Amino acid sequence: MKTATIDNQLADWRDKVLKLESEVKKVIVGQDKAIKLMNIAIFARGHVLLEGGVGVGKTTLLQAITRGIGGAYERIEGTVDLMPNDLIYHTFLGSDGRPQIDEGPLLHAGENLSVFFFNEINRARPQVHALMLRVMAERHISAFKKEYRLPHMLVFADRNQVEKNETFEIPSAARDRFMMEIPIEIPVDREIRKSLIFNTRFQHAEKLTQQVESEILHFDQLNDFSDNLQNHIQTSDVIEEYALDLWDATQNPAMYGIKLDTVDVSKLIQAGASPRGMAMLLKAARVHAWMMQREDLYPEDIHAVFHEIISHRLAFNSMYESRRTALARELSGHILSQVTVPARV
Amino acid sequence: MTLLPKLLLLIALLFQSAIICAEDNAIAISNLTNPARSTGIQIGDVLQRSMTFETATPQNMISKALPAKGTRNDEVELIAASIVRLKEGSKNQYKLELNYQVFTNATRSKVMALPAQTIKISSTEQLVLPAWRFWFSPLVETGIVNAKANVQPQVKAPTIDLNQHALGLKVFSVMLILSIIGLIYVNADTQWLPFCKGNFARAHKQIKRISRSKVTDINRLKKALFSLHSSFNKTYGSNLFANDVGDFVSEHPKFMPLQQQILEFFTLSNQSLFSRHRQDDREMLLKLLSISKSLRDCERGV
Repeated sequence: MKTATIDNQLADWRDKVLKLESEVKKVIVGQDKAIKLMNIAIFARGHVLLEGGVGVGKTTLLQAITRGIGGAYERIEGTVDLMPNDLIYHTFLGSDGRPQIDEGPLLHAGENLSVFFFNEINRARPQVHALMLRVMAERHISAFKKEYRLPHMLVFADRNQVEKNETFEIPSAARDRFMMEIPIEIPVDREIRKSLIFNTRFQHAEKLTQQVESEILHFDQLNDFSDNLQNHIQTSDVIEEYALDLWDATQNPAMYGIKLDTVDVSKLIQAGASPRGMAMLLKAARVHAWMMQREDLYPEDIHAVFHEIISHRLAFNSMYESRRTALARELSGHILSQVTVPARV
Repeated sequence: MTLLPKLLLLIALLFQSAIICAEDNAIAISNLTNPARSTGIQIGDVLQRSMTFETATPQNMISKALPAKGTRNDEVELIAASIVRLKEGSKNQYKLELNYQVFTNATRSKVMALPAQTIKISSTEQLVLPAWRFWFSPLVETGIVNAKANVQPQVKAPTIDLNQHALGLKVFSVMLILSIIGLIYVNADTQWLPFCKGNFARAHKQIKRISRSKVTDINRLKKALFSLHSSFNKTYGSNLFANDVGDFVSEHPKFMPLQQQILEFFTLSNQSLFSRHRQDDREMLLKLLSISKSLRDCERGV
C-alpha cells in the first residue's frame, strides 16, 4: 500500500516536472538542455552556477522557473564594493526622515525564498562569497537577534567569464558548494536566433515570464519529495563500482589511459572531484533516472549530469588554470569515454 | 740296335704287371648307380653316381682318400663327395656318392664322360670306378648370337581417355576447397584465422563457451555481458552506451541492419547489470548468444 502511494507520488511529481519543463520551454527557446539540468538541480536540491555571456536570458530563465515552482525570487548584483551586510539588510531614510533598517534580499522573503539569483558573483569580494557559501550550506542565518531559516532556498549564481578586471575568482572550495555549473549559451540554430531578435514577444521579459503557469510545483514540498525520490531510486553493485571508477579517474586520469592534446595529463590535476561532489553527482543522477521513469540508476543517468557536476570541481595545476573551462570539459568527456562499465567481472 | 726293342718290351711287361697287380687289389663294388639319363645333359647339370662296397678300412681313412672337391676332368667338375657307413661289422659297408657338374660351352652335341677313377683307400685296397659316357646337348644349337637381333617390338597397351574424368576431378577439387574455406569462414572460432580476430568473433566465442559450461558460476551472465560490451567499446573506439548506438551504426554502416538488436542488447544489459528486476540467466545467455552471432556474422560480412 505504501509502495503504491510512493509510486503514485513519483508519477504525479514527474508529470509536474514535465509540465514545468514544457512551460519554461515555451518562453525560453534554445535552452532545452539547460532547462532540464536546472530542473534536475531543483529536485536534487542543489545550488547552481550559471555560465554564459551577458544577455543570453539567464534572468528570464530563472524568473520563469521561479514562477513555475512558486515562492519568492530575490536577486543581487555582484559588484566590487558589495559587502556581506548588503545581503542581510539595507538602510534608508524613512518618511519621517529618520534612518531605518530593512531586511536585505536574503532575508526579505524569509522561508518563502525559493530562488536567490546572485548575478556576477565573481565581481563580489571574497567576504561576500564566504557569507553566501555559508548560507548555501546551512540554509539559515542569524540577524536582528533572531534566526532566519531558508529551507527552500536554491542559489543560482552567474559568473562573468569574459571580463577579468575587478573580479575575484571563486576558489575551488567555494565552487564545490555548487552542485552544477550549467552553461547558458547563445543558441546555434539560425531560426531560433532569428526568432530571438525579431519576435516581439521576447522584448518584454516580464510579460514573457507571466506566460508560465504559476506554482506548477510547490516549492515548500520539494525537500520532502526529494528525500523520498532519493530513497526510491536504487543503485546496483556495478553502478557503484562505476561511480568509484569515475571518481578515481577525476583524480588520476592517466591511470585510465586518458590523454589530452597539448596537455601532460599526469601533471594536469591538482585535486579531483570531492566526496561531496560525487555525492551530488549520484543525487542528480537519481533525479534523472526518476525523470526517465526508472527505479534504478543507469550509467546514462550519470552521464546526463556528469559534465555539469564534475567539470567545475576539478582543480588544475596553475599552468593549466587559464584554460580550465575548455580543459575541464574535454577531460570529463574523455573520462566518460574511457572508463568502462562493467569494468571487471 | 737289338737291345732297344728288348728294353721297351721289358718296360711294357713291368707296366702291365703293375696294372694287373693293382686290379688284383680292387674292392668289389656291390651296387653302382649312374645317372638315370645319359642324353640331353646341358651345361650346369649335376650328375650323381653312387656305389656300395665293403671294406675293413675305417671311415675316416676312406674320407681322406676321396678325390678333392673341385677336381675338373674333361670339363666335368667334381662338386661333392660323401661317404656314409651303412653297416658296421668285421667288414663295414659304405655308400659313396660323387656329384659332378658339367661345365662345357660346346655349341654342338658331343659325347662326354664322368671320368674313370681309382680311389686308393688303404695301402692294400682301392676302388676302381669305370667311366660313364653321356651325350651333352648345347643350349643353342647354332651358337650364341646378339640378343638384340631377336628383340620384338613391344605392343603398347591400350589407354583409357581420362580427360573428361580429369576435368570433373578438378571441378570437384575446386568446389571442395571453396566449401571448406566457406565453412571455416562461417564457423571457425579460432583466432589464428585472419577473419576470426574480429572483436565480435571473440565475444561470440567467449559467450558460447560460457553458455555451454557446466560449471556453476554466478557471474557467468556478467562475464558474457562484459565480453560483448568490450567488443562494442573496441569497435567504437571508446565506451559505447545505448545513447551512442546511432553514432555507432553511422560510423560502422555494416551494423546498420542490426541497430534494433544492438539496442535490445543494451536494454538487456541494463536490466541485468543495473536493475533490481533481473531476468533468468539462461534465457539471457541464449539471447546474448544470438545477438553476438549476428554481430559476428555482420562483422565478417557474411
